[in-house]
Amino acid sequence: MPDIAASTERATKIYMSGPAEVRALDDVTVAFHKGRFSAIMGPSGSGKSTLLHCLAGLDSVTGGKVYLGEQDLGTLSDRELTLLRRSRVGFIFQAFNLIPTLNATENITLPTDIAGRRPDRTWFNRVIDVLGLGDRLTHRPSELSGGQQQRVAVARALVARPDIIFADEPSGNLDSKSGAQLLGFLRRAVDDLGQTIVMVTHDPVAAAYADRVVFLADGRVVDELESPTSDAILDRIKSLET
Amino acid sequence: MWRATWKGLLGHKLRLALTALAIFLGTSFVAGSYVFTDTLGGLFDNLFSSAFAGTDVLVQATVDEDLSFVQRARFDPEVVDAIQAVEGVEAAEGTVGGFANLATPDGEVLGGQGPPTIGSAWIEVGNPFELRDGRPPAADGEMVLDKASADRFGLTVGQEILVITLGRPERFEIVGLIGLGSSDGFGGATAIGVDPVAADRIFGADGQIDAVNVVARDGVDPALLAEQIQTVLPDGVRALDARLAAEEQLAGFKQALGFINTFLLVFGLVALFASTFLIQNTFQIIVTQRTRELAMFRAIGATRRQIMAMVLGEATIVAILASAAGVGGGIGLAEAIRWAFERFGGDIPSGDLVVARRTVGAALLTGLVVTLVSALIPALNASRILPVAAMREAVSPPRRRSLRRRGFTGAILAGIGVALLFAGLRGFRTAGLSPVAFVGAGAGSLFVGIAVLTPLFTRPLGRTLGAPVAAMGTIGRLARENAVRSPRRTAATSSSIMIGTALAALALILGSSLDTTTDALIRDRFRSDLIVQPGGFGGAELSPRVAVELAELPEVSALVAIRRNAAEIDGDTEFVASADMARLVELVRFENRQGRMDQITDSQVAISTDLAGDADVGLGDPIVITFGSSGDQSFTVGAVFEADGPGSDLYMTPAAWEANFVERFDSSIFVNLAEGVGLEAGREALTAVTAKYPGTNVLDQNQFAEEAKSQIRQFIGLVFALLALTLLIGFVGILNTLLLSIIERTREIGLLRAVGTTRRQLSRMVTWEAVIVAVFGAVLGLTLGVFFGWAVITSLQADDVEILLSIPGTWLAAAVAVAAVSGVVAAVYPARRASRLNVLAAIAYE
Ligand SMILES: Nc1ncnc2c1ncn2[C@@H]1O[C@H](COP(=O)(O)OP(=O)(O)OP(=O)(O)O)[C@@H](O)[C@H]1O
Ligand SMILES: [Mg+2]
Repeated sequence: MPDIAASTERATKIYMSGPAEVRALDDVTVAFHKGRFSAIMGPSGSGKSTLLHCLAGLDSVTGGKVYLGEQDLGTLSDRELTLLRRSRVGFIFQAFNLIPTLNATENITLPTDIAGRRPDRTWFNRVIDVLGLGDRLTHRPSELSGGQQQRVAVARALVARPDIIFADEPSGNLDSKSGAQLLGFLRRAVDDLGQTIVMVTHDPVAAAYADRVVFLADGRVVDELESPTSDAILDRIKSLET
Repeated sequence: MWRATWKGLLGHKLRLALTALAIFLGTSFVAGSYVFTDTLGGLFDNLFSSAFAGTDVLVQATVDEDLSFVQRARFDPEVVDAIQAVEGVEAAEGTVGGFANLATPDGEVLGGQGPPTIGSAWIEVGNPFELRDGRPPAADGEMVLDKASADRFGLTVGQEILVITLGRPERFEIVGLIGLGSSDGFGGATAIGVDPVAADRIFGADGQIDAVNVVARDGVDPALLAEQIQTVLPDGVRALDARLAAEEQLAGFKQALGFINTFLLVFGLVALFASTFLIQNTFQIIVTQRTRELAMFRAIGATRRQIMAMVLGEATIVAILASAAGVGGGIGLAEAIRWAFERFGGDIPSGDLVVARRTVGAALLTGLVVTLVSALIPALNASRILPVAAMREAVSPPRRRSLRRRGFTGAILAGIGVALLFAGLRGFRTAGLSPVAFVGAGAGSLFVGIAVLTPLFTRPLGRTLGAPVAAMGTIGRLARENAVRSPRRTAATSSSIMIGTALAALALILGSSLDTTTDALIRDRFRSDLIVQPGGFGGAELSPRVAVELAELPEVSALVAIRRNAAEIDGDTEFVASADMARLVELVRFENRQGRMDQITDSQVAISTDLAGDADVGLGDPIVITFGSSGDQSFTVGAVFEADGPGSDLYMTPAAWEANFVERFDSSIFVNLAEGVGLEAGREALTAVTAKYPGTNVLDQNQFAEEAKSQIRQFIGLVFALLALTLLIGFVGILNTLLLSIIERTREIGLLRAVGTTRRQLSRMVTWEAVIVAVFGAVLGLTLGVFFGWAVITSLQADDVEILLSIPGTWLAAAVAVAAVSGVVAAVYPARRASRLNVLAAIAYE
């Protein structure tokens, strides 16, 4: 399956909290295809972030397997995982995405700089262009609005040309206008730049930007929806709640 | 509120532990200095009280109190008969004593490197010693030795050793070993007893005596008896209750010990001063990090005062715990000093360490005061946090005081500091405040002023110093930006290092300047070919026979023996000297200012320009000298010469000396060789004579300079070792700040890890940050240190002291390197913490 960017095979994640065990992921088998924009939805505590972290090599599963492309993440050491994240994975978090002491450009090129590589100039310019960050490049995060900060984070994820980008509620902290703008950029990154994005969200409107929605509940994949509209998503959520 | 205080403490265990460490180090020195002096004092209490155990009344020549270490005048033994005739006297016996250096028959010196070498006549009446082995000396040529020294040097009854006093060294057989009370030794001193006939000869008493031990009849009060005896005594001789005499001697001794106490205390206080920055910084950071929590307290109705009490409460608990531990540290330190003393030959009688209530009080009080003063500003800031801060999303940056106000405050403090510093250095004094106090206060104020000003230039200077690091790449750039990110924090952190480095630089510059000056002076002044000196420092002196025998050598064309001792002039203790003045000016170069040194009479003295200035006298003026044994004596100033740094400030003729000092030892002998005698041949000839006087060295100009410099270096080395303590506090400061910063930047570090920063890269980032902060502090310190050095030296020069300013570049660079390395070491643990940070926990959103 050459067109799979990331996948899990019967992945299970168990947290021991006191005497009780919490199954954050319970036998999850799911695959995310290259060049697509996928969303993960589900109620709070359903294991969305956990799944994302395990796919990204930030966390390890208790049982089952996780693959990034063909690479089995379970066989890698901490250092190998770090190097893998550096070159093949991009991140966008809900907040605190940027290093406050570095300006926008330096933040954007951080993963390539750390790796000791030079960012591809034409690609860099294209990304900046798409995201409309041209006049903000020398600003520090404290001098940028929340929406601009998130756009810088998107640029950082894109510039390293990773195999896949994971975003955990990237528009969660933004007002609806900036949020819509940001989701529009993610959509363009997939359509125009050929990126692969997996995004966790609570918001049916946000999820409607995706090509496909995966629904989680109690650590299990309970449903899926292709080419969703926000109404269809809302319907599905309602039916899942009952 | 107390519950919250405790919770607050427990929530910040690690940072508070590090703060406590700084308080602990400072209080340890304060406590250690007291424990050490109290312990020594206590031991000597015992020794002195048993020293007059058998005696009720002691009869001695009077001596000036401030000069109690000077040998007392001798008096006629007829007094003994008169005393015996006094009603209530059971027995009385005269005794004589003096310095007695010891050596093995092959000339190896035994003891005497610092602690005194005491000898006395073995008498019956009031003899305090107890025989531990063998028998008392019964004839000339027999002696007893204290058991501790015998054990130390591996001597036993039946062996012979050399006793070196005023005459030629003589052989004595050890016939017994003695102790005093419960002690076998005398704090590293050597003590011998010989029979009265031998004592009279070797101590040059010429039939006279030093003291009379009197035993009272049963039931007679010693104090009353002393009054009775006083009536039959000649002028200048005094009868004293023996217990009082012991206390008097002890007081003099304790004064000498006071120096060590002061020395250690100064370092303790410097350490505590450096700690204030660390403590202040820690509390400030904790307060900043707890802004929301504290605002919550305010929101639910806590008053400002309560918030302040909470922060100060935390400080109090930390201070008390750390200072209490500091008392323990002080005991350890005292033990370490005792060990060091023993290693350098000063056997200190073993005994329990004395921890006086005052010691505990002083340590707790200084620890508490320093901590509370340091925590005051953070506590004030905490109390000013507004309740709305609880609702704010991000931690709001601390209110920025206006830069202008900061600049103003800092400049004023620094200005006052410089003014006080120069006032002190120029010898300004007011009632109760010595120039040294002015210098100390000035330096302190200057340090604080610079520390206040530092945040104003942290960014430009830090970025400049960090430029090479930033040039290495993103990790280096992150390290540099982190280092200057919070200017106030960086300033406070680097302040301790600044203080340590400044003092170290000062010590280095003074040392180097003294070295250079010594070389120059000796090259300039040293006209003789060779100089004969006692080896080691303190204690040992030259027998006057040495000069007599050397003068007889055909290889010697001229020599001059110089005697030195202390006397009081114008309220200050000064070193005065005596020599054949004509010979002196021939062999040592002096620059005459007024009158002629070589022509002074027995009622005249030659004084240095220094002393002339201090005592405000000039050529032809009268000058009163207070001698230990002969009291106030008036002389006229017969000549004024250019002060010569290490030498004496006053010279008198040998006849004037003998009229006023009991001591007959020489301190050094300058020798010129006859024409045609090479330096080596001359040295051989001289050594042939001095070999008979163990502990006597023959030095040429270079060796003399080396000898002089090695003593300076030892002192600088000691200062340096103690300054390492300040550096240690700076080190703890860096460690503390880094840890706190890392906790604050958890999220950022998590992000760095998430986007692919390896653990090693993170460690590197933290380490470079530490190095930049350390070097920042070191560079500030160095600048200040060079300024201090320059100020001290130019002030000395203005005071007519001949000293050349020399700035040892390599050593100063080494000091910066040491600071950088200490930064690397301080970063080890924080770097490890940073790199081990759990990525998921770090990026978890609230
Ligand atoms: N470190 C942890 N220790 C114990 N339990 C954990 C830990 N992290 C997550 N959990 C539990 O695992 C489950 C899934 O958590 P996760 O963060 O993946 O949920 P989520 O779907 O992202 O929720 P939200 O929408 O609120 O972000 C929850 O029940 C949570 O309590
Ligand atoms: Mg989540």
